[in-house]
Amino acid sequence: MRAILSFVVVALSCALVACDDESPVAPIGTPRLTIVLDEQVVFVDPELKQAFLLDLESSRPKAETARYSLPPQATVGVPRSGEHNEALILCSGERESVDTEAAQAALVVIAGDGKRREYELGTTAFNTLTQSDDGRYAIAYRVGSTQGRTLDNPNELIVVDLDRDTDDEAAVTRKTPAGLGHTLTRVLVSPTMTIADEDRRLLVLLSAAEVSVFDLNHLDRRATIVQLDDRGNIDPVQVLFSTDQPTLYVRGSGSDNVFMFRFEPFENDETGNDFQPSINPLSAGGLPQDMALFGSGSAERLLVLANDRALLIDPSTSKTEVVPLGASANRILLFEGRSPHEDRSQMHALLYAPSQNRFVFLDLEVMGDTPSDSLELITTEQPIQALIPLVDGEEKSVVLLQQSLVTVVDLQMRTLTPISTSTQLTSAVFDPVRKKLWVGQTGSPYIQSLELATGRTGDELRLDASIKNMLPMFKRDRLLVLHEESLGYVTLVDAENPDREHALSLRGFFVNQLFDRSER
Amino acid sequence: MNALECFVRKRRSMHTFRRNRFVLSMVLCAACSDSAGSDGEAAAFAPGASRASSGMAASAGSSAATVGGASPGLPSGPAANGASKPDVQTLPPEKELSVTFQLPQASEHYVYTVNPNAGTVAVIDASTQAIQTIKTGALPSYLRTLDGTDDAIVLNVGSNKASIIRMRDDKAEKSDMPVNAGANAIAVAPDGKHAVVYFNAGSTSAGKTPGSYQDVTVLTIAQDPAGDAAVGMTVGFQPRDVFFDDQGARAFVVTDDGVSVLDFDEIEKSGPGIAKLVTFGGDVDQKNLDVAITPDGHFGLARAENQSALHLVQLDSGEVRTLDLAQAYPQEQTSAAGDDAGVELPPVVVTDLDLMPTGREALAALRNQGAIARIALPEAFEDPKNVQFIHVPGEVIGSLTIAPNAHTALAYSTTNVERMVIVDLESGAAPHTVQLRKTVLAVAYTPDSSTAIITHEKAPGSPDEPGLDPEVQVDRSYGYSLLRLRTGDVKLQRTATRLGPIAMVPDASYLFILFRDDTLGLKEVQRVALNSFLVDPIIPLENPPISMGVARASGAVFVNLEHPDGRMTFIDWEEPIEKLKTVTGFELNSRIRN
Repeated sequence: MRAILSFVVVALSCALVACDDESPVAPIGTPRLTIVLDEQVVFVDPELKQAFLLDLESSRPKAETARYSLPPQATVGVPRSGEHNEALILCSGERESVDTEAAQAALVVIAGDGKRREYELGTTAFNTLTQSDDGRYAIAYRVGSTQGRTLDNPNELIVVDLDRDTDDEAAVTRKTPAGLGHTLTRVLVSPTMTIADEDRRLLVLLSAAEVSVFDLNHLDRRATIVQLDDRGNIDPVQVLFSTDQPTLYVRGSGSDNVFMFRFEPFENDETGNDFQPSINPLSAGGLPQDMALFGSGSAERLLVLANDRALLIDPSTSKTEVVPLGASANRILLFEGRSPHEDRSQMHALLYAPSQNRFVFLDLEVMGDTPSDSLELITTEQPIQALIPLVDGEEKSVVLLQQSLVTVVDLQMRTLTPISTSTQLTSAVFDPVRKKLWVGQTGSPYIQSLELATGRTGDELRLDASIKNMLPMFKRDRLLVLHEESLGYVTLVDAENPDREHALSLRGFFVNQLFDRSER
Repeated sequence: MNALECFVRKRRSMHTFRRNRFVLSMVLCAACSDSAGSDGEAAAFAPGASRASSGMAASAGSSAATVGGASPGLPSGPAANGASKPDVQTLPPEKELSVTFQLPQASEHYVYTVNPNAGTVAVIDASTQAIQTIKTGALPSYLRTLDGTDDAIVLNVGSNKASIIRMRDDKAEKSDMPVNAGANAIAVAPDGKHAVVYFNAGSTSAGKTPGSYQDVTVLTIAQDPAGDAAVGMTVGFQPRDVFFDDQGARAFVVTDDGVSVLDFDEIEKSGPGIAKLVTFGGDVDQKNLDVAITPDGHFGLARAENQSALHLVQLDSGEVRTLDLAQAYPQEQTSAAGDDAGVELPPVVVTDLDLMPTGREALAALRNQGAIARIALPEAFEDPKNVQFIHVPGEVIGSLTIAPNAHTALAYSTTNVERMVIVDLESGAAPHTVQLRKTVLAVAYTPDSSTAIITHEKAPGSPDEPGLDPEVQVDRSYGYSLLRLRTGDVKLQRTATRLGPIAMVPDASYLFILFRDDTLGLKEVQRVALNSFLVDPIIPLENPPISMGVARASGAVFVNLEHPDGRMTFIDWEEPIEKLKTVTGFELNSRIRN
């Protein structure tokens, strides 16, 4: 295994002695956030208030990083959604104290090409970030306890239009749904929906009893607030958006209903939305635990799991087909494909529950007079600990992680290929290019691949250090393995040739600029 | 709205003969275009909520019957289906069914449904199912739509106010007007410009205040809320029904004291006052009269139970005339009725009286004589020779239903008789008897007068009992018949349970019938093609149905379902019946802040 160790490592101890408090130039802790871009990795160290960009574009990358300053309290680091090679880092900022000056919250964007920009978000200590699917909008809001400010509005949120420059006034919009009775719990951005003859995206805010909606096309307008009940018991937890209807569905953890919101034109004043939802509660006959949407137009159907039954609901009529499952299930995985009983591709669902050793196939389009005929119950050798869906193009399989097994389930043939493992697997990475599953145990130096089509296992690869985390970079034919090392230590595994000869380790990249005080 | 929230009113039988021809049209609902059908926007299941009718004796103690249900008052023996005529004097009284509910009401494009507890009215677009909820006032309980518009009036009995809901650019707006305390009924003029709000003592009031027995409020409903007005008036004791003239200029309130005349122009000019009271004569018990008003508003016509005399009052002058059909009935026919001298002849008793749609004639059923009296108005009251008697030998003629176009009438008996007579009122051709398979319970015409739907009695016992004679099996089944008037073609359709509400689409192409039987777990809607009498596959409903109606301009039949949050299913009658659309949770929609 080749290793590139930054020369500066040897000088680390000197440097630590030399640095002062006001300008930390050396890492003192392990970065807590890692953001994988196309060919770069961004590491965020909240304590240092710094981010590091490791460029892996070259076939022989250097063990060096570019360093960026961050505002205090970096709490979220994610890649920007859509076709953008950028990392988004949400920093909460901090209030003034005897030792520190006040710092505003900010959204820092670090692009793969090394450019940095920063959107100022004000004094509210936002700690949660959500994005639109295309990555145009990022919404910062706060969930949980206050930051000890004297006055605090828990329902304030900021919409950042990431396509706009930071000095554009319209780039950052501050919103608060007026009169919301409960604290925000989650914010989502809808896909583009045609509502009142206008294509638009909605900002959907969930709180314990309300669903509030802003129009991202018209952020100057106030929210439409729907109170789902008087007592705040509903607690919305899941929202699904229709693919071609101006409709969304809300599931709560405290209601037997799924609430269908259908948006209709509405004549309102200029400051209000020009649409309004009509709400239709669809009864699940029990507490719904998961839901999924399939079909389109009048053929759109909602699949709901409640009380170990599957309910197939026609939202337009509320007509419901109930299928007792004969097994516990609280998760739905939809897939389109064949089944052993039919040649043509149709919609199916895999219904399962963690810690259970049974799961169910449900054929969604062939439900006849006897709905139980659409069921197939499968029993596994060991309880399911986690399920990794591998539904991509022609690939129709899932991997079940179990206590001492990795089981590949062919969703179309409905066959199981169990592969034993000596360690308890908690994570695995799917390689859609090679249709392989990469597995490795945290704390262990070994990784191995599994070919899903054949069930064949690859050679075990021993790394020089134990695994902290595995991250996919399969577009560049790489598996990125993070190791526990405060100076920076990653191994790039060649996905085509996963052996020690083709693997490359980079160490000490956090300290390559030990004597360079410049920050980007 | 669930069934318990429905308000069931048992109408007293002798007060509503003008509605005889709408006995089922109240069940048939909004599609019937006659002006008398203003409270027929939707029809509902009426468990135990029917009324006995026509015969005076029935008003005191006859058994109630539900649509299509077994009647405890009937003889339980096999049906008389032969040509032999039963002893008419021993037959039980004729029955007439009528129910009113606090139902969803349909305008041209919208369905309105009230939620008294929330103080709201949900307005549902019958095309898109979009729901608007509008806060109206305390305990909104009674609602009527205004014919030909998308507007409605709702009575908020908790605040003694009426809210006029106007749909403007698809948005509901409301304006309030005070009404008399405890009011529980609304009657709307055919032109929708006036309404009379009153307390009907025969109804169960949902209000917290007892209603005045003699106060009514006349509402003037303008295009713009600024032109609305409410004027209190005093009328006779215990108003029980309201009629309007064709011009929409006057309302006639039928009370226990007579008919109170409300002249809208005069009221708007003079304000509150005491309405002019017209009676049917000092020696006539006004309280027990069955009253109708001619559409031109010139005459009031009345009969009393078990009597042969009819009373006509000219509403402008108050002049009263009486016509005793016993005297008008030809002596030779009376003699012929008794075979031998010394045998007591059956008395002439009017068992049913229907006003023709023009108001220029009335038909009376003389069951004891097997005859129909065709009475010219007002000429027959001046000269009894203007009464024409149509005899139908061998038939029991206890009830009448006149076609909307007045070309035909159906004569029948709701007693144990399985026949029906088609009377041609145009050509004067001989009556034509049609053999039915089951006893008649109620009859209604389609709006185009081409077809009649006949609901039947069910004989006690299960039709599935082994070894039953097929005829008994039929008698023990629920069902209805369809009768094509032109050809006399009849089809009996057996059903699993009694018929629920029936809705007719405006072009009379389809009938929709609701079925509900909680014991059998039956909750479904049936569509009947009237060109073929064929029944589409039955569509199961998600919840037990309560009522049904028609939103004409939207081309939708709506079915109100029993659901704690309110649920309604819409059926586009141009589409395959499977394409139902359902909305739920009307109240939820009132909690939107926009």
